Amino acid sequence: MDSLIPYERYHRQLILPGFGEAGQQRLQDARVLIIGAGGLGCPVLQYLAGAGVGCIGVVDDDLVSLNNLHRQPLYCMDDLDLPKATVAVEKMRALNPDICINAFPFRLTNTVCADLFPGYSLIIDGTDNFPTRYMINDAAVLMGIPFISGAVSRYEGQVMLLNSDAEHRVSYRDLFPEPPQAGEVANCAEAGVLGPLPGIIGSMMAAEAIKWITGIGRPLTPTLLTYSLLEQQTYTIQLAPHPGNQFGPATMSEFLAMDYPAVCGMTSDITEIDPETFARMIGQEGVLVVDVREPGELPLAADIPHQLSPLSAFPGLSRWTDPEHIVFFCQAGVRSLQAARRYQQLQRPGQQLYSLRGGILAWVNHQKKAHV
Amino acid sequence: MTRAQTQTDVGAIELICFGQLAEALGWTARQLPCPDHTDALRMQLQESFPQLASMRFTVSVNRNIAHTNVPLKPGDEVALMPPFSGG
Repeated sequence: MDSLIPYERYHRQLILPGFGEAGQQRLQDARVLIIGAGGLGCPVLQYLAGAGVGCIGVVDDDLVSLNNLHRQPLYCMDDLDLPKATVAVEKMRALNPDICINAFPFRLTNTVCADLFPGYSLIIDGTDNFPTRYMINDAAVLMGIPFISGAVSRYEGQVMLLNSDAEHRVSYRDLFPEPPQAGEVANCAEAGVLGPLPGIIGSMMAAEAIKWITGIGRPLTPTLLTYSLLEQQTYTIQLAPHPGNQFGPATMSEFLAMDYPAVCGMTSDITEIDPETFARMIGQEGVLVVDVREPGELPLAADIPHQLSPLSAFPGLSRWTDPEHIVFFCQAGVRSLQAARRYQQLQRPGQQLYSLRGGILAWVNHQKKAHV
Repeated sequence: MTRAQTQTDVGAIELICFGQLAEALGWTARQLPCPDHTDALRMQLQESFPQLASMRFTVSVNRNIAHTNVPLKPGDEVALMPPFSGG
């Protein structure tokens, strides 16, 4: 297989001491699943694709939005509202056609973990929420797959390689046994983030992935590295298994039955409602209706009291703490579901989210029929 | 981080905080009279800073994670680390 190494492409890393053809071959044989194609996932993806990791999968159900671009410069204006996983993978195929790379443009669920994880030798957690972080951790632990966890908070970031070998089998639950509840820890949408920070942390994650795969250097295991952008300093903590760690699911069937959003205090379900239900909800006390279409989209929803919050910048500064029920609608019911999912991270406990199935077009049809 | 660069007072520990914990407390590093162990420190912190009650964090002593109750001695460096969620 080594005769197939494209020397010119990988020359600058091939000549590194301790790397060489053996290192390149290990990269070529590696299979890495990147979860989240956002601020952390993009740099990981770019460097791993560039370095020649043989097989890469990218999971993300999000669409590119305008407020992503300051920290996710892989994307451009033409990519707005397109699925991140698909766009990112297309760009990586253009960067390195010698590797196999697959987009999974859907939401990571317990079942998706069970289906996808066994095909990979390393998992990258670049997600932006605790339900998914605990889901990835539990699945990786049960299947014995190492994973690199990265996360940011305002001006600081964390990186660690977990579940990496029998001696150092430390999981995320050894640090934080139970997930924080919704609203307890702010994410980027709430707390803000400076563009280069996820770039730095994502690059560190990519470096750890390459080190782990090729066996060079000392991996960040079992170590939590915290980086401060404001101080340009790092702080490392040696980790160890928690003596009482039986916090996660013990079997795959227990795992598949876990409701991670609920465990994190979020209502897991977004209810898709039909126009009839929508008609009953409009104007009721405690119900807020939000149009997530872009300015200028027709038909206008003049007969429905609502607020505007276009998906391209969603949720932006929008916070709705008072209403018990928030109904999102768009043109055809796809973007509203997306908005509802994004808003899940901001929803207060007890708040219920809905999406109008079929969008305003279904509503207009319903109104026409109702008036015949 | 900037944090542990000052000389620790005799009889004190250096306490370092990260992320939202530091934001909630309004400081990143501080010296405290040395409690007997990490459990005593946790109790002392909850009393002095009620805003910590609802926050999750892990404790390390001299850069080693402390799952159980770890005895403390003057000069120890204790860090409080919350989970980060952003990506």
